[in-house]
Amino acid sequence: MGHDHNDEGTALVVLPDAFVTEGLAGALADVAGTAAAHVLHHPGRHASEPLDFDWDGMDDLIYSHLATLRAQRSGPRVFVGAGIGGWIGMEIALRAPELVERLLLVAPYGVRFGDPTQPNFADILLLDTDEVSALGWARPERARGLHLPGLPEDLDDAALEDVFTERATLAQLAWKPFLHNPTLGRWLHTIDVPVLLVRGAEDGLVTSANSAEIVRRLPDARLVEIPDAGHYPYLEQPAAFIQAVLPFINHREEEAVTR
Amino acid sequence: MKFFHFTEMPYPFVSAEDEEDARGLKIFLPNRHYDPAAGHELYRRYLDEYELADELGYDLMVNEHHQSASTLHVAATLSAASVINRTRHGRVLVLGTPLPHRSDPVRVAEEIAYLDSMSGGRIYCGFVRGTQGEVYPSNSNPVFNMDMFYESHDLIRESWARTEPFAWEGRHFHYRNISIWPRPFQLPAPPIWVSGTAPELVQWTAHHGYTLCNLTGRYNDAASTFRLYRRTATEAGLDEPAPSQFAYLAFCHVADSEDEARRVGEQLMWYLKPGRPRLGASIPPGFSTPATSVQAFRGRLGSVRRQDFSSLIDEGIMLVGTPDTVIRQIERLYEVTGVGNLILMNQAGTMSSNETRSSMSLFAHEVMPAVAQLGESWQQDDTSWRTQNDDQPISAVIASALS
Repeated sequence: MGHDHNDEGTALVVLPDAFVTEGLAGALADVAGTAAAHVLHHPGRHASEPLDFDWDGMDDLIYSHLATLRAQRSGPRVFVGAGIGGWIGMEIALRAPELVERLLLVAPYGVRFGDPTQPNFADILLLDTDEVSALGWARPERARGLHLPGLPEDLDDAALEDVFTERATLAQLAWKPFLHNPTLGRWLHTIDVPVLLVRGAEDGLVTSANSAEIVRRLPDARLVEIPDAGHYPYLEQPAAFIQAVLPFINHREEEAVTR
Repeated sequence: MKFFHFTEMPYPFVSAEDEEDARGLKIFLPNRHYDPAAGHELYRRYLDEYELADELGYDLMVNEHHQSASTLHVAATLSAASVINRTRHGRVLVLGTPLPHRSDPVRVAEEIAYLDSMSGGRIYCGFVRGTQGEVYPSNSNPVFNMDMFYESHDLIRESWARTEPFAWEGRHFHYRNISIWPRPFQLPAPPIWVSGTAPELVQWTAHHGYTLCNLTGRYNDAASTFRLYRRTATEAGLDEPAPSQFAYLAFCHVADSEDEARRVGEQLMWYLKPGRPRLGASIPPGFSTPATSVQAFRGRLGSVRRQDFSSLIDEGIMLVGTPDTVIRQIERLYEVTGVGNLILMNQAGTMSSNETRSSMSLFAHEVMPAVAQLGESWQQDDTSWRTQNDDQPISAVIASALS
């Protein structure tokens, strides 16, 4: 992380999910030879640096990120967003298409569909940590790379304060409507960059119907499911994940199809 | 000292099994367990008890919680309207309207003004931020809980104070035109009460000169909170606060013998059942500081709920015993805290109406006369809580003892 271009590959902008400590950047380390990643974290992840209290919601975060990205004066790049980061990726593609060459989404939040009584997302700000783990992993005992209250069990008070700070940040950004932006949902059809949406087949945090509907509404999108993985396929099945996304990132999809 | 009768109007007919399945009685308990006919009878019964309390010389308190079998008060203002209609003498303390959870503060201003006008000025108006779990029924963002509380309060006060139409474009609330009818009977505003222990809220309450209420905390915690209030007020140049500016809520059951009082009074423990609320309901994101959230997560808060009945009696959180015992408990409460208003939870859970009425009557006849004079001549007292005697550092009470 830290530099944007690599002569040998595609420049990536990585938008991590909430509560993920190593996340996409860790999983994409294998790709570093072909793609350099600029990790764009959301602010408000540390007790010493809480989110600006004046911020009302996700709009503030998007405009902050857009200011950062535009200041980098880069050409269009490949954006990789997971979970909350996937939501942010779609918002950036909608509002600043000139910055986005293609978009890799991993089980994104951000839009919801259908009957108002049917949740599209698990209530990750309500459920106990063991419940989130059970829903978020094909096999919860594999849970790693996350900081949640009580996971790992030996988090000290300072680390826990950071976790509770990030929970507050997510609430400040996305409490109501919960984890989605109805406006984004209405304009998905105008995001015309190539999109690959990857989800773990056992993801219990974002419904399969939600991910499928996003792909259906985007003009140029494809869905790939990683078997034996939950909401974090890049942590639970990193090899399969890399294999699934690498051709898309490197613009070599035909090769992947024929292999 | 003044005494308020209070019941949360519990619905006690949920089986232990159903309660366990729902991890408690609050917020997430399926309402298929509610029987409308039983609920109707409960409402009639609880209002009858408020009526008796009024006749016995109590003032009266109502509150509200949501989506919970522990409380059938769904709006403090609605309950107050019912109680006002059944009573003639007692003050009606509305403690309180959870301002961050009411999306329309102007409507709250109107409702309180209506109650005050209809009752001829019997209203004490309580404002609260709402307990942690309340963020789910209203879906109000817990991060902005205090911010919404303050803005809602400011808007309500403005609605009562102004006599010409005005607009409000705040952060959380937006109106083009406000000119409420009726205005409160008690101008410029009914007496305002606030409950809480967070230092910021205690100091804010002191600056406004509002009555501060501690709900079933340890005496030392209540005393510490009240000291912070007193010190804040005097440092701001206000008069030394009188006991009437403080309130304490305790459980209460008196009977002719200690054994009988304990046997029946133990039913009050129903209210303290902690349940097993999910993480987000017990520690909503952003509701408290990260440090306080960690304390709560480590199980360092809410210890009152884990105490047994006897120790709660020893500490005076349960005012349970013969009239003489309870008189001594209340005298100690006053001595430690300097509180001038005592809210008595005279009923909880399965306690029958006869049991409740019996205790209320005995308390009114034998306890009330013996302790009513407490705080009357407080300025002549040389008590530990007087500002002039307060030279100890104030230890912060990091959260409600209950929550």
